[in-house]
Amino acid sequence: MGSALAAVLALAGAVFPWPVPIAASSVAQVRSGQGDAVSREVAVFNDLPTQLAGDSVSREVALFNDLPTQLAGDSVSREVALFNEVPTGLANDSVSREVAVSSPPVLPTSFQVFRGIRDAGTLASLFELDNDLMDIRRGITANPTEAPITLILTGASPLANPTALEFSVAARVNTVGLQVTLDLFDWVANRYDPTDVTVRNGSTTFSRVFVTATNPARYVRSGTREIRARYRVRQTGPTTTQTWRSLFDQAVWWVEGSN
Amino acid sequence: MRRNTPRNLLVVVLAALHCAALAQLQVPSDGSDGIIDVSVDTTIDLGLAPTGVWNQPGTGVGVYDPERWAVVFKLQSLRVRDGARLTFRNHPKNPPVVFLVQGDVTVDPNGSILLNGGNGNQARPAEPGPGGFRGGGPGSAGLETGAGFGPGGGAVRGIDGASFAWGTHATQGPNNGLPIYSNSEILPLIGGSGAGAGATTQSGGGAGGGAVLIATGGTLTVNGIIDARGGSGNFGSSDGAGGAVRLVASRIAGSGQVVTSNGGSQGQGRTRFESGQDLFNGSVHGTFRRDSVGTQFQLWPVSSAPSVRIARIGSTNIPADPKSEFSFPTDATVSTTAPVRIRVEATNVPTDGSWSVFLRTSPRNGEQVYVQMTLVSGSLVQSFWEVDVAFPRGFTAMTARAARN
Repeated sequence: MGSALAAVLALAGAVFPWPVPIAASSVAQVRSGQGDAVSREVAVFNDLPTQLAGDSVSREVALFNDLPTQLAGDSVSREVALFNEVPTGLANDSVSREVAVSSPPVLPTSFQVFRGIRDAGTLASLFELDNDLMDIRRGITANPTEAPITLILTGASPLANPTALEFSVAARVNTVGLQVTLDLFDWVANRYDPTDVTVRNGSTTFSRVFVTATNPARYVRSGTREIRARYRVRQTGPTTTQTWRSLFDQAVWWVEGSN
Repeated sequence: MRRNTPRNLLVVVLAALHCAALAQLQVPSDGSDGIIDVSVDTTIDLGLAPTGVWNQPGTGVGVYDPERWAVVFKLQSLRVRDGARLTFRNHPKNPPVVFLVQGDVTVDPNGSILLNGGNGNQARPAEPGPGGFRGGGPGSAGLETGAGFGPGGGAVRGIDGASFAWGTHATQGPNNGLPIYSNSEILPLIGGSGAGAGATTQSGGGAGGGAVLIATGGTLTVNGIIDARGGSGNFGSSDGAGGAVRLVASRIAGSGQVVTSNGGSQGQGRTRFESGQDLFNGSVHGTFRRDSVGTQFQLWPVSSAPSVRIARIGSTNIPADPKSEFSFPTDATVSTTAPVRIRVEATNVPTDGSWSVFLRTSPRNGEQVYVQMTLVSGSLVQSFWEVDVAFPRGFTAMTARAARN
C-alpha cells in the first residue's frame, strides 16, 4: 500500500513539474483530466491560532477605584424632619367657644306669707328651678274669703315700658282638692286685677302656672317700677290630709319691653 | 435575687442602646407643677388654676390659659397607681386638660384617668367632662326638655333625644342633621357634645366626654384605662358623645384601654397617638389615629388656622373668654323674644364662597336652632357673619362653626 501511494505521487510529479500553489487556508484541490489535471490532495496546518488572529485578550488585572460608586453617581442629604403646619383637619372647620345668653326672669326682691306658715325655704328658693323649695303650710284665715295659703311677692321691673309681662310659679301641692289662683296688682286701679287671673286645680306634681298681663303697663308702678303678684291656695274639695301645703320651686316675672 | 449573667447584661446594653437611638420628644414642660402620683381616688379641681399664659411657671394646680382654652399642667411625672382613679372637677370655663410631662407617664393596671361626661338626670343638664358640653336639660315644672349642648348636640324630637356629636354620627335616635365637627388630629383639643333630653320622659341627656392631651418626652404606659366616653342617657334620653384623648410620647406602651365610645348610640369620640415608638397593644374604643413623631409635635393649632368666635349678641359685646354658665350674669342678656342679631368674627376663614359659617343655639328648655350665617364684611384675614335668632325665655347656649362647603 505504501509503495503504491509512492508510485502515484511520483507520477503526479512527472505530470506537473512545477509546484502546485497551495491555498493558505487548508486544502488545495486541482481538477485534472483531459483538459485539466488534478493535483494530489495535500494537507497543511496553519499554526497561527485563530483567536490571536481575530482579537487579543490581556491578562486579567485587579483594580480598586477609590472614588466610591455612590458618590460618583448620586448624593443623598441628611434626613430632615418637616411638620406641615396646616393639618388637613384644621382646614375643614373651626368651632367657636360656647356662649350663654339669657332672657332673664325678674326675681322677687321680697315676699310675704300673708296667710299660712312657712316651714322651709328662703327668698332665694324662689329664684331657680333647682329643687330648693319654699314650703308653706295652710294657716289661719281672718274670714272665709281668704285663702289659707297666700304668698305675696314683690319685685322691680328692669323696663319702664313693658310690652309683655308674665308672672310664673313652679309649684305643687300635697293633696288633691285644692285650687290655685294667681293674680297681678294693678297700680293704676290700686287693687289686684280681677281680669288677669289664672285659676287652676292644684297639681300634686311640679307644674308651672302663670298669668299673662293684657295691659302690662298697669302692673309696673310708675317711678319705682315695682311689680307685685299673689299666689293663693284654697280648698275646693276633699283632701287627703288636713295639713295641706304648697311647695314652691320658682316664682318669677318675665318682662319684655324697653326703657 | 437575679444575677446579672453576661447574657442579661447584653440584653440590658442592647436595650440601652435602643433607647439612645430613639428620638427624644421635646415637651415644653419645666416641671413646675411637680409630680402627680395618685395612689387613692383623687379629684383635681381645675377651677383652682390661676388664669395666665400656659407656659408660665405653675404652682401645682395648673394654669388656665383663656386664649388656648385649656388648663395646662407642667409636670415632672404623672402616675396613677393600681386601683386608683384620677377625676376632675371642671373649671368654670370648662376647658380641656393638658399635661406636659418631663418624665414618664404611667397608668397602672386598674388605675384610671376619667373624663367621662355626666349621666342624664331629672334635675339639671348633665355636667360634661373637661372640654365637653352639657347634656340636654331635663323638663321640669311644665318646662320643655332641652336639646344637647355643643356644636354637635343632640336634638329633642320624638320620644328620645339623640347624641349627635363629633367623631362619628350617632347610630340611634333622631338625627339632627348636624355634621361631624373638628378633626382627627385633635387640633384644637375639644370634647364631645351632649345628648338631647327625652321629650316625653322629661329626662336629661348624657353629657359629652372631656378632652385631654398628655405629652411626655419619656414613656407613656397605659395598662389601666383613660376614659373620656359620653355620659349615659336616663329613661329615654340618649348618651353624650365621646370626647378626645391625645397621647404624645417618645414611646407609647401598655396593654390597657383608651375609651371614647361605649359602643352604644352615642357619637364616638377620638383618640390619637403620636409617638416615636408605638408599642401599645391594648384596646382603643372610638375613632383612632396613630402617627409617628420625631422630636417636635404640634401642641396648639397654628396661628394661620381658621377660627371663629361669637362677638356680639344684640348690643352686647361678648368677652373673648365667655363662661357659658347657666347662672347670672350670663355672657349676654336679651329682654325680648323677638329675633336678635348675632355677629360672629372669623379669622382665616375664606370669604370666596368656599366656606360657610353656622350658628347653633340650644335653649336650657327647648329645641335647638341651626342656621347658616350671612357674610356681611371682611376678607380671609378677618370677616364678620350675622344672623337673626329669637331666644326663648331663660337660658340659651350657642356655638358658631365655620366649615368648608
